[in-house]
This record gives sequence, structure tokens and C-alpha cells, in this order.
Amino acid sequence: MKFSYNRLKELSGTEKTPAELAECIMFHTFEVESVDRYGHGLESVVIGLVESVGSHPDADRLRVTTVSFGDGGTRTIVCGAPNVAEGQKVAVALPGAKLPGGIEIKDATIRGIASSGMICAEDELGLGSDHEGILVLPEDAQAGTSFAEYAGFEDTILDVNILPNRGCDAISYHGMAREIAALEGRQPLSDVAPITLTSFPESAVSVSVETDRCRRYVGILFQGVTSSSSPLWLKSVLLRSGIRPIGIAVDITNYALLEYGQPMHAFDADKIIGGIVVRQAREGESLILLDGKTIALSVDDTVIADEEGPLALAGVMGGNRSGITSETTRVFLEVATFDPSSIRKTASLHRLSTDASYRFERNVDTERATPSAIGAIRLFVETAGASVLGVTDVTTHQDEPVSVRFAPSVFKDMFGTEIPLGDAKEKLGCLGVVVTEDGDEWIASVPTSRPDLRDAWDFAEEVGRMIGYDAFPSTAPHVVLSAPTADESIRFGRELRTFLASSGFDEIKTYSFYSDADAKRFGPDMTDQHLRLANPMNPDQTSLRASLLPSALHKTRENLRFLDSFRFFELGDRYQRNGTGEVTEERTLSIVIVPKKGEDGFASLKGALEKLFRFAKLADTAWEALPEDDTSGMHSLFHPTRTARISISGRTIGVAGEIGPAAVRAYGLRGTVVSAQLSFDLLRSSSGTVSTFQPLPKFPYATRDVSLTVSRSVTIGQIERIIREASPLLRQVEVFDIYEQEGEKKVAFHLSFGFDDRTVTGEEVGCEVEAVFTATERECSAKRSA
Amino acid sequence: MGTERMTEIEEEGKRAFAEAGSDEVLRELEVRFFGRKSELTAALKGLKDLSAEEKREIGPSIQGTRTVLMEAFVVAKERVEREGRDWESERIDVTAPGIAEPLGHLHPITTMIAEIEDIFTRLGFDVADGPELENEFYNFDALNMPSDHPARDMQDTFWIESEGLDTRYLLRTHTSPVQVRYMETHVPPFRIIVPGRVFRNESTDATHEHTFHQFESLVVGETGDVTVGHFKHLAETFFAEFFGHKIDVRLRPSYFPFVEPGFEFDISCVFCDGKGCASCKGIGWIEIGGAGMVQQKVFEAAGYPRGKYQGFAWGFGLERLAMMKRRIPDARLFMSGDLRFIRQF
Repeated sequence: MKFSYNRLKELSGTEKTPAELAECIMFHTFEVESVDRYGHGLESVVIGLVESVGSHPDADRLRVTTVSFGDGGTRTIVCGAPNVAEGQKVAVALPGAKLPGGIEIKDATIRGIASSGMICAEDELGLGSDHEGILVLPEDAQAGTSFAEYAGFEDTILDVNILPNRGCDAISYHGMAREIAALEGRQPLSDVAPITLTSFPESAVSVSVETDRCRRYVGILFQGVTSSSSPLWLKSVLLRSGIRPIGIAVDITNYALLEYGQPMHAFDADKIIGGIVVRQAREGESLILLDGKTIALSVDDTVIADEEGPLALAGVMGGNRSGITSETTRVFLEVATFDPSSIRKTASLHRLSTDASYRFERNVDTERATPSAIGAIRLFVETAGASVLGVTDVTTHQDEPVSVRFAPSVFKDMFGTEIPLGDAKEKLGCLGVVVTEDGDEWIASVPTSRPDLRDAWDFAEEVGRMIGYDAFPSTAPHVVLSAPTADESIRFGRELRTFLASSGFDEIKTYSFYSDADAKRFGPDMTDQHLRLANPMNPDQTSLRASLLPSALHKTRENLRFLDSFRFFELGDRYQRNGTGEVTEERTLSIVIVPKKGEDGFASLKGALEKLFRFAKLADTAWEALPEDDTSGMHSLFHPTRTARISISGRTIGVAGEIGPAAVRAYGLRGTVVSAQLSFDLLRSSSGTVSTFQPLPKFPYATRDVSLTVSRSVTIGQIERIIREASPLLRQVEVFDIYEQEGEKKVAFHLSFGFDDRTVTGEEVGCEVEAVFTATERECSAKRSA
Repeated sequence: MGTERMTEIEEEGKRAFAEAGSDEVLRELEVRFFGRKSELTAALKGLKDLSAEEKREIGPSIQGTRTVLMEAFVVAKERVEREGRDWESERIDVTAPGIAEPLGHLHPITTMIAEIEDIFTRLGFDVADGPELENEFYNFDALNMPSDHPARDMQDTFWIESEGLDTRYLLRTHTSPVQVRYMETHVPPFRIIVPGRVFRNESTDATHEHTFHQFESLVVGETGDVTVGHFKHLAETFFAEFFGHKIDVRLRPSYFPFVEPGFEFDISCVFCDGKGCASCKGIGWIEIGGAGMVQQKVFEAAGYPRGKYQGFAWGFGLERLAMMKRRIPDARLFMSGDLRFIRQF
């Protein structure tokens, strides 16, 4: 809330400068977002006395006036306003002034008469929309002095961020002034005017409260309300508090809202048919709001209704039908209290957040209606020429002061420092909390305006912040010695990331959502498995990612603008739902390589992954071509015959391969892009533990090069399996050359043979190689090549 | 042959080896001093004919001369080889580039999380983790934010379409849900840290990103054992480690439903040591994060008895800290996936 420093000073009695006051509030109560001089824009506007008014020789509608400025001499000013008259105090914009309405004042000659300045109307001064005539100031205005100063605009504005737990007491001038006085160790200034509402006759407009969501309803009927605009001082306070003046009745309700934190609503009493009924809205009812919008009401909404139907959305916004107009003379003023959570529901359902709903959501106590209503009555009578016809006061629930019993040892427990109990009691006393002692315990009586004070810890907070947190020294804790337990997944994640980075992969992070189009590319089977945002930020971010691949491909395209080849990874979560409504979140390793010119992308990816698997001590990994009947939508962005399914001990952990041509097109890529998508948890759980020592081979292995020619359809994986099965002495197999020609494939291997307990002989090796030839010929028609 | 002769041979040999200028000369000298017909060899052979006393007298000097000359020979041989070689013809250009070994770069947030984890684990903290796709209970209700609580407005939430799901899901707005998840399975005293990705449904600009990373720390013990004073101490210790010099911590009142009292905490400006500079807008302090003493309602939500335990929780945004430490001007760069950005770190 924006507070006028001058008003706070008047109410609280503080002697602090604005900056000192802001700092005090910052360190004891709330964050002060800004402390700024009020920018009124009226620097060259001075109060003048109209000495004489004469007619203009060449224009019937213009007057030539002489205006005096005390010691500042007199000026001749041509004025077009019909209401200008001798003896008036007026606001004069002198040459050089730039007014809030945008007008720049210069010396001018108007139809042959030199005019030095302008006598201003309200709208030109930014005080309202009235342009009927010039603004006439009260008699006490002193000619020659600054208008801004006279109108109270020389002020500093404190923008204070009221915390949600202090919504009940602090979103008002009186509440904040009470807080400031308490911080300075003083009791609040007299809060409550000693008048009661019962001194007025019952209002002619009946009030019936039919819902317990309305806790109290005070209705005040006025007659004789003038439609004139509000007095200058009232407008000035509203403007400095960031509220635009509208008309006197509405201005008074806004003023009372600022002063007491009590929202009010003014109805045109002549538009109310029958009496007022406060009730829940009925099925099918609708309401045209003050701003002209029509809303369909929910049965959860509370409305203010008459015989015809809803007049206002209770605690949120008034309706069009009973709004105040310039013809209104009889006003029915509502000063009511509503249940916070129901107002919150209504405001959020209709997406309406108003000054009233903001306060009601944060709790307005029922006791506040009385002083607020009396304040408003005084304003209607004194400034709007109104008189009170009657008052109705219906209470369904009355807030009472609450007693809380607690042990003051909580202060020491909380802050680690002894706090003198007398000080604590005094601090609470300044906040209106009366403490009595009962043995070792305290009984605190809490005023209705502080529903946030309900237990020992609440009081500890109050005492702590009032003393100031700086007062509590920093102390080293005594703790029980315990060894941190290492989270495997966190440790493995860190190792994996570091390993990948040292293998040349850059790490990126991308959003957890993507677009509907991204989701759809996984095919119809995957549509139901995507979780969707109920309130997305923008259309590119509607679905939760079920795969990290789409974002990786978007980022590939973006990086291709600047780089020709690169490799990156992301370790992040993907999210999915299944048919039974269960949701899953799975950490995934996503890798992309855009190979260099001439580089075999898949081979690079496979090499990198094999290195990774060795690093993670994964045993028994297997690569196989994606089966033709693989229908998993997750793989639909990959190339069907250039992609491998990777498994560890028979369990699939992910896929690796080339991005398919359709996806390359869809994501605006070029050339070859390869990617792997692996389950992080399966990688981690399969990763090996600490290795134990194996005896070192004492006898050298004998190595032979063997070259086989097979049909192109035979895979190297198959040949390798056959070779391993064919020779019990085989210790190592390594492919060192692959050559394809005319539907045939020539593969050359280094084969190493050996015994653990003796040196293998040349003869034995010869037999083993023969066995390899025989087996490969038999099982995959391999021919030995030269 | 006496020791005098040995000294003479030694002097002569040392001079000859030092003057030798070619392989040929060296070979001749080798024969002359160590050859079968050399005086030294003859002397060594002659030793066996001497009496034990003579042997004791002259033996060491013959051996000594031989060792000295052998060393002189090796030195001379190395020198002749070095001097005789055409080194210039073998020269390589050491300024030519190396064969590229690829090096990747970790995301700056990853590096920062590791740095922070290391500091805390040295202080005896456990690292805890929780889901990003969280349900309403852990993210809000258990943290004293029932659905009608205005404090829910403080955190704009990405909600998940709930049709067909067992409960209302959302993307966690903070790492605090992990507090309750951890407490459900652990008994105080404990101290943990929770780093992780969080989400706020807010439009992005140079200082705001709807997806960012948070870090929080939770310390719980018996009532009276874990105080505001201890929090100050831990925060000062952490930031001093993190920035490498002494940092002051200042608390201001604030409100978060899951703590009471709640604080905003500032640290003394790391660029000017609190004197006031452009980075701290001249005030000497930088607003870093939120903190507070754990609300008893949070303990209750985790199944702890009311009033038995006390603790503090505090957290901060990692991007903000990284932006400060690494002078990164725009928060959106972190999620940009731009490798030119990543490769700077």
C-alpha cells in the first residue's frame, strides 16, 4: 500500500524523517519498496487572488482578469471560465509550468491581450475530470504561496509491502500509524471515537442477512447527498495514496478504506427495490458489474440482493444497477464484514481482484465496522451535505479479544538469547496485547485486529522483530557428530556430468515443457501419456516433456546457426502419466552429437557411450537394431534402421541412433544428427561397485588377424558371438577394419588366444583359428578372405 | 707401480678426455686407458702378485683412478655426441596447435550446486532430493498454505490438468516440499540441503525466468537447540566459504507461511565489502533469500508432535547468485541452451 508520510506522521506522532521511518519499518515490520517525493507536477502553480474581472474587447466568452500574488505582484490573465469572479482565490499556472494534464504554459497574446499564466480548472491540475469551470479555493488559501503546498502535495510516499499475515491490521493509515507508534514505544493514539451507532434511528432500508459468510452488516441511509466533487484535501489524500478521485460518495468510501482498512460500498438508495438481502447466489443468476461486465454467479458467491435480484458481488465489486450516478441524492452505505476464504474463492473464480477483496481475503474484523462507519458518516455530513436517515446493524458473528496462554521461555528458545521479560511485555503492550502472568505462564489478551497472534511462536516473532533481529548474536551451534549419508543418485549424477564434460560434451538445461506440436510428433499412442499444464505461459509450453529429445532438437537447430558441429547433453527429468492416472517422473540422460564433416556420427556416439559404460562399470551391455515391430512412440523421432536399442543384462536402458528424416525436417535441422536417450536410474542401478583384484595373466596371449567376408545382412555382433562361442581359448576380440562392397561385407579381427597357466603354442592357436573359420562358415556363411 | 703413478695417469686421462673432439679420438683414448695393454689394466692384473699389505696400500688408488676415468669417459662421450649432432635439422615448431582433445563444459548452475554441496557436506549436511512434479499437499498444504490462503498468491503456480489424476499436481514452486518429505522418514536432529529446479508461472525478462534453481537448507533439533543465533552463524559460515572472505548477514522481518518468524536475509555486498557500489545500489547490502524458524504446523504435517522440535530453514535462488558471481547479465541465458554461453564456464 502507498502511504502518505504526512498522514502517517499526523496519526502516529512520529518525529522521524521519511527515510528514517522507512528504515525503521524495514527492520522491524515490513519491506518498504520505495520512498519517493510525491510527483505532483505543480511546481509553477501559485495561489492568486482575482482582483478584477473585465470583459475582453474582441471575444464575448473571454474575461480579462487581474490576479495578485501577495508580495509577488499582479498579472493580467485572460480566462475563459464562466465562473471566474472578483475576490476568488484561484490556482494559477505561471509561464514555464508544465501541468499534469499535459498543458505547457507560456506568455501569450490572446486576441490581442497579453496574458501571463492560466487560471486552472481541476482537470488541468490532475485533480479530477471536472472542466466545468476554474477551481475556486477556500478563503484560507494565501495568495502568492505554492498551490501544491496548500493542497498537501508536498509529501513523501512510502510504498510498503504489507505481509499476508498482517492483512487484518496493517493495510490502513490507522493500522500503520498504530504500528509506527508501537515501534517507537508508545501506546497507539486514540483509535476509536467514543460514539456508538445506536444513537441513530433504524434505517428505512431493511437488511436481512441469510448467510453466515456475512459476519456483520451495517447499512446507513443518507439523504441530501450533493453530486459536487470532493473537497480538495480529500482528493489530495486519495491522489497521494494512489487512488483517483471519482465523485464524493465513492471518494468517501475509498477514503474510509484507506484510513481504517474497512471496505465499504455506496448504493444509490433509490435503485434498491424492497430491502437488502445478503445471501448466497442462486443457480442461474447473473450480475452486471460496475465496470459493465456481466458475470454468471456461482452458488458459492455471496451477493447483496434486493427483491429484483443481486445488486453487488459481496466484498468484491458493486453492480451496475444500483451504482452511484450524478443524479444520486439518497445513498445507502454498506459497511460489512465477510468471511475471508469465501471472498477469496469468489474473487479468484471471477478473476476479480479489487481493493475490497484484497482486504477481505486478508481478514477484516467485525469490530472495525463501528469506527469506520462513524468516520464515513462524519464525512458524508460534513463534506457531502448529507444527513443520516437511519442505521441498521446486523451481526451474525462477533469477533472477541482472544486469550492465549503460553510460556515466555519461548523467547530464549527461539532466539538463543535471554530477553528481559519486562521488555517483552512492554513491546506487546504497545501492540495492544495485554499480558497478565499466571505462575510461569503468560496470558495474553489479543485485540480482534490481530488474528495472526494465536500461539507462543506468534508472540516470539512479535517480540523478536520489535527488538530487531540484529540484536541477537550469531552463535555456533553444538551438534551431534554424524557422517553425512551419500545419496547414490546425487553422487552418480555428479560423476556422470563431469565425465561427459571431460569427454567433450557441453551441458545444457532446457524447459520442462514443450508445445502440443512437439507432443504430437510422438504419435497418437503418446498423446494420452503427456501431462498438460492447466495454465500454460505460452503456446510453446503446453505439455510436460515426456522426452528430453524435442527440446534437444530445438536447441540443436538454434546452435547450428553459429556452430557447424558440437556435442551436448542434458540430465533432466521427464514426466508421464499412465492410463490409471498415475504420474511418473524419470531422470533421463539426453545426448546429441552433430558430427564433423566426414565423421561417422553413429560411430562417434557409440564410442562415447561405450566409454561411458566402461566408466560406469556397466557389465553385459548389448546393442541391437531397433526391432521392426517397435511401436513405442518414444522412438518415433529416430531413424528406423539406424537406431540401436541398448540393454544391460537384458533390460532396455534406452536408445541411440540417427534422428529420422521426418524429424530432421520438422525441427529444421540439416545433415546428420545423432542422439541417445537413456534412463539415468537404470544406468545408476546397473553401474558396478568397487572392483576386486584379478590375478594378472602371467603368460602372453598370441594374436592372429582373421578376415571374414559375409553377406551385408549379417551383423558384426552376430559374427562376434559366433567367434566367441567357437573358441574356448579366445581372450580378446577386436574389429580393426570393415569394408563393404557389392552386397558383401569384409570384416577384419584381431583375435587373442591364451591360457592362464601356461604359454599357448602356435599349433594350439592354429587349431583355434580353424575352429573360428569352421563355425563362422557354418553359421553365417562366412568366407575366409585373403 | 705406486700411487704417484696412478695420480699421474688420472690427471693425464682427465685432460685427454676433456680435450677429445671426435668419436675416433675417444675410441683411441678408450684403448689407451682401458684397453688390455693399458697401464691401468696391467696394474689391476699385477695386484694378484702383491702381498696382502701392498694390496691394501695400492689397491684402492688403482680402483679409484679407474672409476674417475670411466666417469670422465662417459661425460666426454655424451659431450662429443651432443656437439656432433645437427640439432637444427631436427627442429619442430612447438607453437603449432596440439591435436584437439574435446573438452565439454558444465552448466554454471551445475558447478554452483556442486560448490555449495561441497561446503555443506563438509559441515556435516546430507543432500536430499524430491520430485519436480509435486502434488498440492507437499507444495502448499503441508507448508501451512491451505487453498484459501492469500500466501498462495505469492507464488504463481503452473498447475497440471488434473482430469483423471488421483490428486492435484503442479510443478513445485519451491524446494520446500522436500522438507516435509524428508521429515516423514527421518527423526531429528538432522541437517540437510536441497538443491533443485523450481517453477513460477511468471513472464520472463532479464531478471526473471519461470524455470530456475533453488537451494535450501533445513536444520532441526530439540526445542531450544536450534536458534535464530545459530542460523545467523551458519549463514555467515556458508557465505564466507562461498565467497572466500568474511560476509555479514542481516535479517529483516518477512513472512512465509512455513516459517515463524520469517526473514529476508541480506549479505554485505561482496563487491565493495559493504561500502556501497553499483552492484548493491550504494546500500552495501544485497538481498539474497528467505529464511525462518520452521512453523510448528509444518512439523505437525510431517507427523512430529507440536512444540517438541525447533529448526530453521533458509534458501535462495541459484541463478541470482550465479549472475552475481559470474557477472551474467540476463537470467534467460541459463535455460537458453546456447553453447556459446555454456562454453564460457
